[in-house]
Amino acid sequence: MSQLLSVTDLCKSFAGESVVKSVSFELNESSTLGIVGESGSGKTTLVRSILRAIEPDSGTVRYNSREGWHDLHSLSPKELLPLRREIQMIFQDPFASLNPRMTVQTILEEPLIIHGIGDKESRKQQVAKMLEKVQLDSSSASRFPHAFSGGQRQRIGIARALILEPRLVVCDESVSALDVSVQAQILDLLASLQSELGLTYLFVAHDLRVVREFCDDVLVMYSGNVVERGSVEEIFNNPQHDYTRLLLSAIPSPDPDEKLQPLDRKSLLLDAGLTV
Amino acid sequence: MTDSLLSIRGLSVEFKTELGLVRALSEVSFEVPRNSVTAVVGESGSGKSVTSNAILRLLPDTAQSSGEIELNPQDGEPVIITSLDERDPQMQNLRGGLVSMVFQEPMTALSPVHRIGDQVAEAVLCHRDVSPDVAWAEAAAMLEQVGLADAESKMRMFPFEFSGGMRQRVVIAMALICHPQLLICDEPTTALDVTIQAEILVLIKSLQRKLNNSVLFITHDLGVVAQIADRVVVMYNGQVMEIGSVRQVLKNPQHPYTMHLLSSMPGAATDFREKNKNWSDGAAIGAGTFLVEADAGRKIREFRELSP
Repeated sequence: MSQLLSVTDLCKSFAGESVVKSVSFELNESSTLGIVGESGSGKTTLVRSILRAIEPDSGTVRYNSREGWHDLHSLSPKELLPLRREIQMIFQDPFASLNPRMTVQTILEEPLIIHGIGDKESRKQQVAKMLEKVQLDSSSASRFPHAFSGGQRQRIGIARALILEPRLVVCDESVSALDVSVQAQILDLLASLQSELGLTYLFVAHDLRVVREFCDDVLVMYSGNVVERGSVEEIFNNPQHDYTRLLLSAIPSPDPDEKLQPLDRKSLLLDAGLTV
Repeated sequence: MTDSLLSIRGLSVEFKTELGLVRALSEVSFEVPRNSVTAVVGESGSGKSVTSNAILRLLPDTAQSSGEIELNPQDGEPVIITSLDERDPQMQNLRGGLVSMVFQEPMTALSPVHRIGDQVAEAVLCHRDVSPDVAWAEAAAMLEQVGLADAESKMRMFPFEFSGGMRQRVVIAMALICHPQLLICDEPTTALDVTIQAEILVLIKSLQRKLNNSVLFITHDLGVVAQIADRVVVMYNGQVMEIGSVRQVLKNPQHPYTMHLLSSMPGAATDFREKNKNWSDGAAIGAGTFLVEADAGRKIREFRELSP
C-alpha cells in the first residue's frame, strides 16, 4: 500500500492562540484514518489546513498525486486546482452545505464545470450515473435540496464530492447530524464506495462508536496535539494516553449491565507527555 | 388506578399546516412511575418531543390534541393537565414547579443578558413567596449540588463565560430548584461532547436518586438509554412501538423497529445487523394495530409482516 498523504509539523494559530500544535501523520492509500477529540481539540482546523481551506502557519503537507508527490502549501492556487480534483470534502450539515436555489443537477454539475470536464450532454450522463451510485432516483436531478430528507441530502453531498473521481475524501463529521438508522445507511454507502473506487478517507468524528466501526487507524487529538495514534484495535483495546482512556470511558454502552463509569478529568495527567 | 406520577392516555396531536392536517402523535399511552427514569427513544419525527411538550402544554396554536395527561403528585390531588386552560394559574404553578424541563441546547435555554445567579433565583421567586436574598442563597446551594464549584462567584457571571457542560449544569439547577416531582429532559446531552455527556448523565441519575423524583428522558441514543433509564418507551412515527424495562427492551427486543434501531447502532453485531437492516418505513404498522400486553408490565405493538 502506498502513501497518499504526509503531514509534518503542521501548526495553526488564531489570534495568538495555538489551535493545531505541530501535528504529523501519514495516510496510506485506500485506508480510513479517524480523527477524534472533543470540540476545540483542533480536528476541523487540522483538516482545513491540510486542504488549504485555511492557510497554516508552518509545516508541510505532501500529497502523492497521480503525477507524483506535491507540497500542497508551496503551490499557487492555479497549480493547486488540478489537485483539488483529487481531494474532496463531505461536510457535516446536509442542510447548510447545499445551495437551496440550485437543483441537484446544477449542484452536481458545478464541480465538473469548474474543472472543465465534458460537455453538457456528457455531464448530464455523469450526474445520472453518480445519482445511481449513491442510490438516489434519477428523477432527483431536477429537484431542489428542500425536497429531500437529511439522509438523502447527505447522499447528494457525497455525490458532489465523488463526481470528480477523487482519491482522498475528507469527511468532517459527515454522519453526526443524522439519525442512527440513517447514519448506518450512509456509513454502509461510504464503505461500499471505498471498496468500489479505492477511496482514502480522512474521517473527522466525535462519536467514538462510529470511528471504531468505520476506521482502520485513529488519531486522538487533545488541545491541538495528537496524543495518541494507532490502529482501531490498539486504541480501543489498549489505550496508552490518559486522554484516550477518558474518551473511551465516556462512551455509553447499549448494554444496561455495563455501567457508565467516566474517569474523572481532574485526576488525569492530561497535559503531561503531550507529544507522541 | 395505578400509582404512577404521570399517565398519558390516548394522546393524539395533529398540526394544521398548509398541506392539511399532519398527525404527529396517534393514541400514545404510557406511564411514568414514581422515583425512576423513563426514557422515550426514537428518531427525528417519531413524536418524542411533541409528547414532552404536550405534558407542559407547550404546543403551538396550530396543534389540536385529544386524549388525557394526568399528573398524580405525591401529596396532592391528581391534575388532568389536558383539561386545564393554558393560562390557568394551576398550569403556571405546574410549569417549573411540579414539572420542569431541561432542553437540548443550553445556550438558547439561558438568557444571554442576565447573570447566572439571577436566572436560577428567578425560578424560586416565581413560585414561592420569598425574599430575593433567600432565593439567591437557594440558587447558590442548588448550583453547588449540580457540581459548579465556587458557585457564589460563578453566579455573577454570564452564560457566554461558561462552557457547554457548565451551561447545561446551570439549566439543570434551574429546573430542579423548585423541587419538581417530574423532570423532563429533552435530549439534554445531544449537543455535548461525549465526555461531558457522561458527566451530565451521571449527574442526572445521581440527583434523581437523591431527590427521589421522576425523570422523563427524551433521546435518540440507545447507549444513553441503557445508561440512564429504568423503563423505556420506543416511539416511531407518532406511535408507541414497545414499552418495557430497560433490560427487557434492550436485551430482548420484541418489536422489529426496536431491533432495527439496535442494529443501526455503530458496533452492532454484523449478523444481527444484516437480519434487521431492512425496516421498510413501518408499512406494516397501520391503523388497527394495537399494543399487546406481554409479560410483566411489558407492551409491544402488534406487528404484521407484509408480504413483499
